[in-house]
Amino acid sequence: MNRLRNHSSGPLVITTLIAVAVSFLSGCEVPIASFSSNLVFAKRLEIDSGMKMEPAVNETQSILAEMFGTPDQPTWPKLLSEDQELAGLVSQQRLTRAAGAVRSDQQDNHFGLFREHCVHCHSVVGNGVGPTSSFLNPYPRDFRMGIFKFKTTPKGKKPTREDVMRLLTEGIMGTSMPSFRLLKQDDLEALTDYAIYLAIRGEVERRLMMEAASELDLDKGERLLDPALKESAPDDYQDQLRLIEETVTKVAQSWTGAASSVTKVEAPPADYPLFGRDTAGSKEAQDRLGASIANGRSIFHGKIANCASCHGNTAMGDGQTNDYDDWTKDWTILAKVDPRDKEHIQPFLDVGALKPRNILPRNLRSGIYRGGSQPVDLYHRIVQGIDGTPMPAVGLKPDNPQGLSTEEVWDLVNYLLSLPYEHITQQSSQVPPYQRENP
Amino acid sequence: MKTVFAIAFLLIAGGISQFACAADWADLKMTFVLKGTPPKPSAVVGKERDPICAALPILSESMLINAKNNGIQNVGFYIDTRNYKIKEIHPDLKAVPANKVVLDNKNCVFVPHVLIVRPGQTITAKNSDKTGHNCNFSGFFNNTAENFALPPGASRDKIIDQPERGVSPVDCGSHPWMKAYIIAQDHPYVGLSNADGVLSIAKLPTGKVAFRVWHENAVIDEVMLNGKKAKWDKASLELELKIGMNEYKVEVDAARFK
Ligand code: HEC
Repeated sequence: MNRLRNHSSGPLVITTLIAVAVSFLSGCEVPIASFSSNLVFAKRLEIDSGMKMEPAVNETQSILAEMFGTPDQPTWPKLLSEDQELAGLVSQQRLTRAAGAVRSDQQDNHFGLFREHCVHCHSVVGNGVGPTSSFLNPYPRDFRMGIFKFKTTPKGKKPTREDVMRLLTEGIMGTSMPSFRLLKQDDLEALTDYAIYLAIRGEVERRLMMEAASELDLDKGERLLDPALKESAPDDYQDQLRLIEETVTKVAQSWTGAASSVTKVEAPPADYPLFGRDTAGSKEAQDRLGASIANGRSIFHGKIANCASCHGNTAMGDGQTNDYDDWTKDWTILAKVDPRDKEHIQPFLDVGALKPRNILPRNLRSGIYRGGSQPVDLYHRIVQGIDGTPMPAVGLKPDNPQGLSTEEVWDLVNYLLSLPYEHITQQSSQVPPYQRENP
Repeated sequence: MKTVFAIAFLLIAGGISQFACAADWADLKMTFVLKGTPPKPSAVVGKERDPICAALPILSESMLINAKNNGIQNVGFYIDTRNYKIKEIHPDLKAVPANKVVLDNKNCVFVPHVLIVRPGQTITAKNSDKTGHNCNFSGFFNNTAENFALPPGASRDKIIDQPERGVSPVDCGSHPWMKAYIIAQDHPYVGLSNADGVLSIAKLPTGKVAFRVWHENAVIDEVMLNGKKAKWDKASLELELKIGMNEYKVEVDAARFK
């Protein structure tokens, strides 16, 4: 027993040391006057437009500072707090609580929560490039594209507030993202608001920079919001202002719209056998479960779901392993740069991009799921796909006649849940998956 | 009496100028040719994982050069709205076409390789192969992302409701060599070169018009335009379009391509 204790204190000391070093590096205690700009995206636009983006980067920075404030004093844009539908998305009070330097009062209420718990991985601006990021695999999330993987809404939609909250509470298994379950409910709410705030701010930044690169001649001095026009051409000035405000509103609306787009889960019949619940049930339940798993296995390897093409015939994630996620494609493929081309990715690494890594299909025999291991979590992954990654969404009958029925999806779920217990050599058949008839 | 005449005169003059206006449109024909030795199309990597694709002779489509006339296929060419504000669209072209644009998965490649759509149109992604594909619309900036699993024989619709600034790639995660590109501009003045390197854009406004050029495998910023050196300044090339047909031969140095 003692030996065990002694052993465990080793890593603990190291962790503490790292934590101290990290808090030092990330400068929790010093005031942070401004958010850093998205220079990686600016570089892509620079290559594409042939223009120096610096004026647009600076202008975007000051427009954002005006609306969203600073890391020490974040503000929820006035135009959003005055909009009935959007006002409740983020509360100013919670933002203030989550922002700024780490501090606490005598009742042990914590402030500066984002810097206390998140910045060493996600960084002050939420770009996922904190002091520890390059050591982590997968890299921490960059919020600024507004893409989130594990959620209850269809591909292309924002997560709901509950989805974000759940990631904070439960953490993301199999990654460095820990669970913050031990924080007070208030703290979690404040951090959720702050993450949404950073995501919205970051997406607005991208949109304004894109607008500048595609519609303005920056070399000629054209600007997104030209103060000179205020006097000389007030109508043009108003148009410019409106465009910026519309951009902010649209991004915020994509978040408020999430709640109404949640994927409807077609629950299986009440007596449907589920892995886990019915594994040790009656003989009949076990037989039915066995049949469901067997059907799930052939769907996994069949042409309709086509799971094996990526996850491999072994389901160990060794199918297609050459693709990249959308965060990487955003500054490589979309800038016509091959992620493997060292010379051409260097300018992006110089402004803060992390070395590209392939996105790997999950090893489905490990039993570790990032987005949750409840049957319903896997149902969401299968029918929605996983945003920002190559994992596609299967079509459902009857809208997609060639797709799967919901019952077949549940069979697939049963198979996934049973996979960690399946013997590795016990595969569906000797025929390669692509040559098999549809199940 | 005088005023009546004056009004009548104005009306007639207005009528004539309107008539003249309607005919004031330009047609553009451009031939893109490669200067230098065309590269040999290379075989794609990774197809052995899928026996159905492995049996097909699939060559990379990232650079299609016509062996007979060095024509460069799949060059996109469209009005650069940064440097040219479109004041009027030809009446024939104003309406967004009602047809769906098909993106087929056929013989383990996307057909066509480059799609032109107008916002409001629908892309029908379909699978004519006997293997499963997926259509990952991951490159949009304004339209929502979508990633369809497409079993053999399946088809699914993606509505393009927003214009895109750049060109948006589509890929198939199961077959990484498969790539398609979508050009979704907010106007009809978009051309794409065919197997002879020829593209045409009809019923354009006349006068100085700025254009952007796109090729998946090259940054085309300097060319020979009808024998004279021309530069895409800040990714924009200005052409002086006259009424009727305007023809250009564009020679691109092989060194511009990867
Ligand atoms: C085009 C490639 C591709 C196909 C086809 C595919 N996947 Fe995936 N899958 C992935 C990738 C990549 C990931 C890792 C995503 C990430 O980064 O979390 C993944 C992750 C998963 C996960 C892990 C989810 C979690 O919470 O951690 C499950 C479960 C899964 N896939 C099941 C399936 C099933 C079932 C099918 C067939 C219906 C399928 N996949 C088809 C690429 C694919």
